[in-house]
Amino acid sequence: MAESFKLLAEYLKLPFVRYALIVGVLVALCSALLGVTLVLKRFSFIGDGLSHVAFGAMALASVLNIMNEMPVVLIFTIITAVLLLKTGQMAKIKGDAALAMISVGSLAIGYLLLNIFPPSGNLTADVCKTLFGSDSILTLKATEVWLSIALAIIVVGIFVFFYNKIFAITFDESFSKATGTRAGIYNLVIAVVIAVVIVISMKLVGSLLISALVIFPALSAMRVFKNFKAVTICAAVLSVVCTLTGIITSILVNLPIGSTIVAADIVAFLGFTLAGLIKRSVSK
Amino acid sequence: MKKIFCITAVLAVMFTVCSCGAGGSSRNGRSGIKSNTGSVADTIKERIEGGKATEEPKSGSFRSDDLSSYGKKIDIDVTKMGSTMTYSQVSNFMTNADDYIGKVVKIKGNFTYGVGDDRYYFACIIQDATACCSQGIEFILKNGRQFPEEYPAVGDEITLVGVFDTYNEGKYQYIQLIDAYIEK
Repeated sequence: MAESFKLLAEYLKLPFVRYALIVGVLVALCSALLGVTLVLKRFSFIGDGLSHVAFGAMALASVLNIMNEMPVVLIFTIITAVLLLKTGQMAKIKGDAALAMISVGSLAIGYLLLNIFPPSGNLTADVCKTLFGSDSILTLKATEVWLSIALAIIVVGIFVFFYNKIFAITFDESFSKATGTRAGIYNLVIAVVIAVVIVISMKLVGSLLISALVIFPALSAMRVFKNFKAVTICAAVLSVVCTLTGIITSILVNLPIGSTIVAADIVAFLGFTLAGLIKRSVSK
Repeated sequence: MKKIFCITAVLAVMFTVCSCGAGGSSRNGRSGIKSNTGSVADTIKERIEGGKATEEPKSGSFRSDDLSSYGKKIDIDVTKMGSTMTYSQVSNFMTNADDYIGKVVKIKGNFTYGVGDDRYYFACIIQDATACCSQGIEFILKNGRQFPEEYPAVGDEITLVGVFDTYNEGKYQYIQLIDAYIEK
């Protein structure tokens, strides 16, 4: 145990490890905050869908030899999020069908493009790391860290300042509209924020595992707490703890980072489910 | 009908742009420093495969240097890291090379070499944890040696200590360890 702490202390001297921890915490926080809204609005799988769109956009940017892929990925993901969340009842292809179509299509087209026009000599490794985030979070540059910090501050700021409106739209959008709240604009804001969070989360857990980062903390918190504010705070704290645990465990034990974080989330979910059962039986 | 035409036109433009933007085996237009897969490792492999080596080095005369007598404090000891951290550290050497110039680095991997127009290139190849991919770092030994007699055999596990440096060749920047000691 002492050896592990000593090794961890050595690792923390390395700048890229500190970057990974900083961005990991921020990404976990943003994902958890948005996750509560998405789970309650029954849009849990939108994280998965948008991450696949982001993968397709990333593939396109790689094939076009665009050095900085993030703007391209952000644009495509934001447009897709807006189309999915805003069109709502007016769409001819609704909800889960639209999401499935866009999600699978983007993944397939992205992989097809990478195979036809491979941007590097080791396509398998590049695709694997993008999909599962095995150690992408440990290869961040300082500029990427600052960008992630800026985006995270914006996301948290939006959530804090518009907390009441987000709460109202999450639980009863029709009533919110009837009382004069401009639900369309807030839905648009949520869509853009979700897209931004998804894009910055991809480096942490990869495209295929992003949904876990969004869903598990919220669901875990809901096992124990029934109040929106309590669930949100619990989900945020839980997500940060699981992410830190996942990153530290993976670098000490040589495991892929994305999967380890999700495993930590699963363990937390099981623990909170048990805690919820105990709480309910005690209150009876 | 108009929508179908528009979608077809967009797809056609997209594929046309893609085929213009990406060219076969060319790596032109990139700085040569890339994350993870590392164009340096690709280039080393290309040099090896396209090289004019005519014989395998005979390791009979190889002698290890005494790494403990290197004389400089080791700033980054990659040999003490786990496999995930090792690969990440080497990726960072590639992507943030300027941050490491002048630092004394210790690494462990497999020896390989390649032949250029007028020189040999020696490298230490490091595999990732799943062995699905590898990255290489070139090195230049401090004490002159005769190649191939006094170098390890290709594939031998070696440990290197050297000073991190970069150099440019053509459009690309490469990383290397200079003034290196080698141990097998």
